[in-house]
Amino acid sequence: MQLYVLGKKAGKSVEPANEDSGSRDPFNSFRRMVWGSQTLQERLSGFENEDALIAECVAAGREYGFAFSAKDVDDALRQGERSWKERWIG
Amino acid sequence: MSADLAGWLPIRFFWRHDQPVVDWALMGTCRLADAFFDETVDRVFRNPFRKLFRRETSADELLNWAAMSQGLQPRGFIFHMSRCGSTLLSQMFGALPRCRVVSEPHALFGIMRGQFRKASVTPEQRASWLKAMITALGHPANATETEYFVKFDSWHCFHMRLVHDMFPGVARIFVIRDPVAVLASHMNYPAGWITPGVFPPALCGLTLETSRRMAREEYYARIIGLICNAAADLTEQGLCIPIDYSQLPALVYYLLPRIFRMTISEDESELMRIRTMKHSKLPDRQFQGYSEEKHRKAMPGIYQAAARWIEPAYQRLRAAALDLNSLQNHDRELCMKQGGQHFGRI
Repeated sequence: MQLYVLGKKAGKSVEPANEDSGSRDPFNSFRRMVWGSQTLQERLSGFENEDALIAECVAAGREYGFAFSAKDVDDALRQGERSWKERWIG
Repeated sequence: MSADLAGWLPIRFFWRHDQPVVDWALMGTCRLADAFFDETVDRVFRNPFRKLFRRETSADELLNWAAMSQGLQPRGFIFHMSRCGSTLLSQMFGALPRCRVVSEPHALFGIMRGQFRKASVTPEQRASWLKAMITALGHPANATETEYFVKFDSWHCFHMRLVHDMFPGVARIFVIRDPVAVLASHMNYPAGWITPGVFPPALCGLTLETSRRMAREEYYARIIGLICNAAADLTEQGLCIPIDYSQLPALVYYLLPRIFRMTISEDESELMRIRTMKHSKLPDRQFQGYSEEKHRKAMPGIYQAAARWIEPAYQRLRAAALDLNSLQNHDRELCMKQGGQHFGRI
């Protein structure tokens, strides 16, 4: 089990979907774990409310030794939303 | 070792720090029931988990996944000049539970546009990415899906030869319609891809600046004309079969068994017929039939623009288009029985 420093370094892009940068960002590492865990996918995929999902991610992350904040998850969510909406200019 | 991407579909192909990146979404068993692939992605993203837990891979991972995984082989490819009935046609196919229809996915856009954004992209790279992307998109949502169709964006017609080379045995059609109606539709509701800067201006010999300064009807007509011209050349080389809007939906009942070699049952014919009664892009609405409204709203300039830039290529395509009247009696009667209500007459 790995333990990471809470939060992220100032100015660091939150692109947690990038598999190459997984080890440098606690939430990204957690996300990689979720990709490979049916148990975690089932635990997290039922949330229709974003705030509830974010809170559950933080709680699950803590259980597995990943220290990231609700803001980290929210930033990742917004980043994903933006990249999809702005796909035509990408 | 390659990532296990079962249940994931590529939704974007883009560049970051000069490297191609593939964005994937966990689609699971979600059927692609919407008029466009990206609309299904929007629907999937209403679930915040799916929006949050996306993943990105390199283009090499896409190639590896396509090589090792078992997707469906394409049954047919649909190209078109835009605003011409191709969406309803693909929705009719998609009305059959065994048909998987991937309609204008943005992931293909990134690859098709690649050569214009990255001069270093070789034709071989683009070909291998394209083949892998189509293969990855062909992963069925369930065991019932056995037939796979891809509907391309209209300007992807410029890459039809590449598609042919990658999938040489797969039939290709090109859907056409009266140029004034097509142009009027774009004047009222321009497609995203036709916006100056999104459509690679080099394809029509323009710069971004000149394309932005040009009258809209001329700019749209030039692009649509180029698309039709490319399709007409490809038709004359035997690479695609033009289908005219005026012959839809009846001709679908010939296309499926004779061109795409897919026999359809009575029940399936009924499913397709029911789908024709709904609006192609807004399926919760009844289809109201084609009116002259688009023409009335149209600016007089569109007639001139259509005549100058689109009409010559359109006439070449029309001359080569499949015609109900030239079919054998048996086929023609079947078409008229199953789908005799043309768009204009519903």
